[in-house]
Amino acid sequence: MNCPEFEKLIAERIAEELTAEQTAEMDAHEQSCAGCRHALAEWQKMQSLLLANWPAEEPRVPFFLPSPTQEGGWLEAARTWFGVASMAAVTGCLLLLVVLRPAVSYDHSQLAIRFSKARSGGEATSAQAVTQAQVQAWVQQALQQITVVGAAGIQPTSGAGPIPSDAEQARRVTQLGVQVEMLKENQSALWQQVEQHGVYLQSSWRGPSDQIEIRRKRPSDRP
Amino acid sequence: MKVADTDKELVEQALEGRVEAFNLLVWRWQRQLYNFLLRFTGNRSVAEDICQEAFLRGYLNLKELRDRERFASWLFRIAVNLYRSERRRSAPLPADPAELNDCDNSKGRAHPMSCEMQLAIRTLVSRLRPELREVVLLRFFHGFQFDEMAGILDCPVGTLKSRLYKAVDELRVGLDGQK
Repeated sequence: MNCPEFEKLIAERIAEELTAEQTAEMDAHEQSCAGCRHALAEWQKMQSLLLANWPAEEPRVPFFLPSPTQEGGWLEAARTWFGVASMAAVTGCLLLLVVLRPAVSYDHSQLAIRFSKARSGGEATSAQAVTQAQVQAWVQQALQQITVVGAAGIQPTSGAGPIPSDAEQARRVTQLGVQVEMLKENQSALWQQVEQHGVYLQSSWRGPSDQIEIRRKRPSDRP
Repeated sequence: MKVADTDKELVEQALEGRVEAFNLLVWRWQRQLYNFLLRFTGNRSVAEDICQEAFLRGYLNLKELRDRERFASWLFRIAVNLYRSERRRSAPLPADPAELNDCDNSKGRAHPMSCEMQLAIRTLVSRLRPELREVVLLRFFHGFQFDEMAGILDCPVGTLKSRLYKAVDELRVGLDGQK
């Protein structure tokens, strides 16, 4: 190998893309040529300088896709993702969310929604209408808690390669993100259903067991 | 889902409609792609916008990815094309000098470099012509091989090698001028 041939292969040598035979030839030439040895060292130094002086930084925001993007809108997307049965479960949970005014908390990557057994004193209360603003406020409260905890507790991995030990956490956050988007989509859709079908949501609190009634809406019941 | 999914496995799961699989790909590559774009554009907001758009387009066009093991190259190619389209459509995207000056002297690094050197390196790289800068970034910072870079940049390997030699020469001359 002569000097021009050596120089042509420096880039691949740095990139470790040479065959064993080519590497051996370069090694042999490098031993006998101070100029080429210096040229190779300059490239290695340049690579080190660049990497040391422009460290990578974490993105200010994650780039997760919040929900499946399909032309059919949220309903078709939700069917694809969760199946009709799961959709029913989600809707049922949202109905509970509306009726029972749960306490929402976030702990150990799990979103917890607690439903009170009874209000203070266990006294029965009269039928109570729930406004759209209230529904939105509850869901927003849950979303804020997830956002705060997610931003503080998750550290992205560095670069490519196998996902380290926090992969499970990443998966949970991803799933939560999808669920949150479902909640956001469904809160307005749920309210539209309530309005469209004239269903009036009503809760009453009687002793140890809660009873939920869904009645036809009367004009006087409108929230 | 297994923890150690390969890109190929995740692509296949995403094609089956699992957005969480695609989001794992996002998790795996967002730091690399974002930093490539940040170093290339010198502007965090622009880098974030292109990064987000690249992931979205990647998801929407995932069916078109033929070699599923090469998701990263394909993703970077989308980002490069987005940047080029933006540059053709409007004036050169503005680098933000304040962001170039954003010196990292964090303790705990093995050999913390001076802010002056960091600024010098960043300025020299940002002054390279775009076609030289992208080769330097992909090769030295992100470790892509020449055939992968050829796919990302839609350019023959020989041309990329020439550009890398030229870029290194310019950087070396620039650094010598700093001394």
